[in-house]
Amino acid sequence: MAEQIPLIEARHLSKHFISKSHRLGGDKLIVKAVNDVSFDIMKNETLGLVGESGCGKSTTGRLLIRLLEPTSGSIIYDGRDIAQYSNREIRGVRKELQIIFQDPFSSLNPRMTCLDIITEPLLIHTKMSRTERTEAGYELLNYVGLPKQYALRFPHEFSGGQRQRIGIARALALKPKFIVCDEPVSALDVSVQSQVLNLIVKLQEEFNLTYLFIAHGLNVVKYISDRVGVMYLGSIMEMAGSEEIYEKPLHPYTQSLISAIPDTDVENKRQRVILEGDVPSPTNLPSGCPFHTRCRFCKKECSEAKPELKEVSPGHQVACLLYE
Amino acid sequence: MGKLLEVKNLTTQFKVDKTKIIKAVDNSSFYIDEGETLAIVGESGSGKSVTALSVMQLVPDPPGKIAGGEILFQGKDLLKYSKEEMRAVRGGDISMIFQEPMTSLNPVFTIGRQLTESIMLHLKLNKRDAEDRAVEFLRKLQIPDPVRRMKTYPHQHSGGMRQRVMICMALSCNPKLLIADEPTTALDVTIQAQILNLIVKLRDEEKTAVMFITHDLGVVADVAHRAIVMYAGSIMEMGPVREMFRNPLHPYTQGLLGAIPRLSTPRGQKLYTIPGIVPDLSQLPKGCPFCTRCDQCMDVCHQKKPPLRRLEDGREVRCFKIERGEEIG
Ligand SMILES: Nc1ncnc2c1ncn2[C@@H]1O[C@H](COP(=O)(O)OP(=O)(O)OP(=O)(O)O)[C@@H](O)[C@H]1O
Ligand SMILES: Nc1ncnc2c1ncn2[C@@H]1O[C@H](COP(=O)(O)OP(=O)(O)OP(=O)(O)O)[C@@H](O)[C@H]1O
Ligand SMILES: [Mg+2]
Ligand SMILES: [Mg+2]
Repeated sequence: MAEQIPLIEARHLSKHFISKSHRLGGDKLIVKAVNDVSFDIMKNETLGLVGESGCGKSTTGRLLIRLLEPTSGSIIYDGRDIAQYSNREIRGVRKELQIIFQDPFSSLNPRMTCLDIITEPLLIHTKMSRTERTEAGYELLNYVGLPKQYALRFPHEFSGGQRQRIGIARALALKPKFIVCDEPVSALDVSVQSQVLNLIVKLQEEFNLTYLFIAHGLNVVKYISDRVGVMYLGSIMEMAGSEEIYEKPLHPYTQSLISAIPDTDVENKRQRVILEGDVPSPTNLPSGCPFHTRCRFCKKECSEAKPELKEVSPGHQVACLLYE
Repeated sequence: MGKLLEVKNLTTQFKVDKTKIIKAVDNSSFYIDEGETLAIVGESGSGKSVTALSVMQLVPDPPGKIAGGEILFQGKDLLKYSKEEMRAVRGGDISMIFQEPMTSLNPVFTIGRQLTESIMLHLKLNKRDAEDRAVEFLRKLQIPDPVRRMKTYPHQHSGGMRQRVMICMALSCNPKLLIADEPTTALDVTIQAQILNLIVKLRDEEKTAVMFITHDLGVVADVAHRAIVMYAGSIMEMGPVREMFRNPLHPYTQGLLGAIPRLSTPRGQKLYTIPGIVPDLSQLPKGCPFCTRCDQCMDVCHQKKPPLRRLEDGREVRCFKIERGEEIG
């Protein structure tokens, strides 16, 4: 069970990328990937992050563990603001902050054996001897349910689910406190997804881990998270307990997102709220509420000022003028 | 309603190296009624796309080959058609939407030109009428400003918009059968909901039959009347979606449904897992293709492949556990 002490506090966090326009000699474009988001992740909690492609989920995850430098804002981790840490200072906390990537195929070095991949972080970040590292490596294999005899095989000899286990073992090597799980099961076959999900849940209990769990599959996020945040165009629109947000979604965007989930429950078919149009470009954000261009309840004020994320009932926050 | 498409004992194989031949589709039989939507579900590599490509006769040859069977469309065997005749069927009576719309839209022609030419060819309309029909369909697909869109190129549109143009192209020629191969897999959920909604609406208006391929059982529950579950090239179970999801008969179907968290699954409840991984088609076990991963496996399952049985209520299943019904292949 999650404790009520924050492990990570993100405050007014933003990340803007500069990217060149496709046209020759074109202007520089600013991609506003994450815009002024603030939230806490409690110790031992799983916070789910959902939203459509390009809404800034991965960028948020990478900021939290400082794989990216924020444009502005602060990240309080365990009492320290790591937002402006230099590369050297980050190395000091790197052990505690890890990530599991979506694509188990490209995230592993094809020329390294499974054991070397898993123990590489130990080589970089600890003074352990080779024997100690090997021993730790075998223990990690055991934790993630990979047979010992796989240790000296190369990534291409493994299936997708097995590779994802290698990625998880590697993330665990330094005994981290916090892991960003960036779509860890999206690339896997259905029959293998649940194996990996069960493993992620089991490891959290065993090692008191705190997770940020990013996924497209909203059923998966609901199943695995204590709380869920909904992102749209770089902003958090709503955040609440996972049961609450699926049962009583408040934001019009959350309502349509949840109604759009394909579910195998043939007995309880839900009413769809179909959204019109496409997501606007993050290089050209709408004024005011980022969702107002597609919102069925849009009022004049919605295009004027961006609503803040506000608590409307205990533990349930929403950024929408309907609830002011 | 009559059978629009009836596939009998279809086997499609690929030569994977000098000595090895794999059966991507192994002795498959199924049908689609007029106006009906049949879903084909299964994990990656189970033979869904190859089934669709076989019906369209677009299996790359070599290395692929339709090794046997019949594909009856309105009673006539498409496998006996000449190349010319088949070309007229494709995009006419049967049209197909692919997962990645860019592979089937030509980047150098405007959307309007591609739509109009296809309508002129298949519906034998003049240019003017074809253009009108194209605009009408773009409007039906809720594409804003359709007249201006006709003059744009595919790369100027988002993934969801391109997929809508593809659907427009597929449906504007008034096909009797639409084959949709993962038409929404690459899209976000809200865009997926838009597109599925449109496919269902147009299919109902035009009374088009649909073969809907997906690996997402949630999508099946939304769009299909009946479904086929494929595993390693074989049909394991077939039946009306509601009955099948309520009471799956094959251990593989049971496993798939149990492995996906439903919205109603309580947090932390351990998910059912199917042990192991999908086998390589060149190394299938001797008996039932699923026997190495099945938690209800018996001795006989390792010895021979179970026959498909037709049960009393229109369902079919390939499993030795089920002994009632009639053996059909
Ligand atoms: N290094 C970068 N340079 C420029 N733009 C970037 C960079 N990384 C991300 N972006 C842009 O920032 C936005 C947010 O991207 P991000 O990867 O965080 O989205 P996401 O929510 O994880 O999407 P997905 O679900 O597709 O993984 C996108 O518009 C993306 O194109
Ligand atoms: N051109 C080809 N050459 C060789 N083998 C092929 C070819 N096309 C398909 N196959 C094989 O046939 C089998 C079935 O492939 P198919 O594309 O039908 O799978 P699928 O069910 O559509 O999977 P996915 O969900 O990944 O699209 C696979 O084992 C695949 O490797
Ligand atoms: Mg991402
Ligand atoms: Mg396919």
